[in-house]
Amino acid sequence: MNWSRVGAIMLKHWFDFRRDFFRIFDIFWWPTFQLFIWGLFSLYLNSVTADRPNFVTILLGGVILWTFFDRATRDISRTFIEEIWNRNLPNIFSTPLTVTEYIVGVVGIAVVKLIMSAVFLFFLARVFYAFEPLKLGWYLVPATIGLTFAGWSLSFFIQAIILRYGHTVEVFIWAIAVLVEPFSCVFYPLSALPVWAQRIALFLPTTYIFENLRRMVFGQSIRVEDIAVSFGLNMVYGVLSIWFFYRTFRYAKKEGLLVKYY
Amino acid sequence: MSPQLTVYENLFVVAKLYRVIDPKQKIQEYAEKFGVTEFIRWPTRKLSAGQKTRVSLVKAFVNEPRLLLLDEPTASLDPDIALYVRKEILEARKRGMTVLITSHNMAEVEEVCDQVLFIHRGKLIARDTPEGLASRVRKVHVNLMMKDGQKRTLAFAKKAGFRATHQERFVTIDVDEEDIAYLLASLADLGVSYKSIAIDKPTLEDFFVQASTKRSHL
Repeated sequence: MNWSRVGAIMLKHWFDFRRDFFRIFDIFWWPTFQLFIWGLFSLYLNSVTADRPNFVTILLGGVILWTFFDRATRDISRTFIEEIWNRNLPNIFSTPLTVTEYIVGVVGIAVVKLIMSAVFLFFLARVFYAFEPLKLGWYLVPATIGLTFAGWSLSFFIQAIILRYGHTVEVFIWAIAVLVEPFSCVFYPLSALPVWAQRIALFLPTTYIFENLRRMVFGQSIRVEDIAVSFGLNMVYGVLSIWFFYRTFRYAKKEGLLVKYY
Repeated sequence: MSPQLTVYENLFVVAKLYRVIDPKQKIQEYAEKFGVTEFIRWPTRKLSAGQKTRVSLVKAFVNEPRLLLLDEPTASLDPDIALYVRKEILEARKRGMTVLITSHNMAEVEEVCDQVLFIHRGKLIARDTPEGLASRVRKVHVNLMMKDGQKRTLAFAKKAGFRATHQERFVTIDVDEEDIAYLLASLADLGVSYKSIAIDKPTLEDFFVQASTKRSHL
């Protein structure tokens, strides 16, 4: 691994970021939009329900944590698809850059964007809804890390599919988080799902994190074994998706797909 | 290259990927050589096809590779820039760089290459120096600017089995080198007179035409 080349990839995306207003927009607009929709809805529920839990904490906690997963699924894939749109993939991979260096570079820039989004969201939630994310305490650390890793695993899987099948499947970059969301129990407990959906939900690392978020909000203790299962699933999916990405990249290179589709 | 980045930013990233020492100075050096300086701060999406080719050449040279692969390097370039490119390729050769060019421009190949490989339908059909390949063509072009007897000249060429073409007062006859004397003596016997005569030696292009025509008929 050459850190200078990793830095070059990060530098390239920093240049991209500076030159494109809509990238800045993307980092701040969508999370803000989600926050306000759910924030207003939470306030409304608080106002019409007597003897109720604090909906702001339940729903905004879910929205903020979901942002980590949502951004993680899209950021890296979007960076990747933009290289494809610009026909730049053969260019950058005709240099000594390795796939690992590329991955580390784009993950690095994704972390920076994620932190920017999160800090902005925390700030807005605190100012407009008196929601204090740091009240989640130490749980915030495994929850954000777990959700981010789950998003990256899915993202690499999608990138591999795009490498293999081209533009026709790129819609999954934007759709995958929406497809996973109902099964992740972001805003309702696992028991609210039909039995068949609960079975699917148990295979998602995200489900355990949101289930425990609600336990925490209701003053119950965090189930460490749930967090362990979530991280275990993340590890399995992470290894599989990276392996799948490398394998598909090699295949795409051998078959000339890097040039063919783009 | 990323269209929204400036030319300089794109080149800088490439230089960094190749770990070029002092990338700014190298980019500046090659940007000047290939006439890129005037639009180096432009977004890459605003460049014309020719300008993009020039930027690609800077990109190709900026890390001073030992082996450089160029595909039609002067296609879509203005003649003055194409001249710089050929000059730079020759200089790179002198510095010990191996340059592999694919081209359909035979004049350019003759100028910059020391070895030529002809590939026809995926098969290597010839490999030699440009001069060596050209010398495999036995025909020379005899160009005559006619004064009198153009019809007689064309009729004689047809009868003798020489390929002849004509345009206004100019006649070109393709003959084997050893038949030049016979051709000129015969024209003198027929009373043909011409204002000027030029004999073109076979070029790489003649070899290309001959080789590909022969193979196409196989």
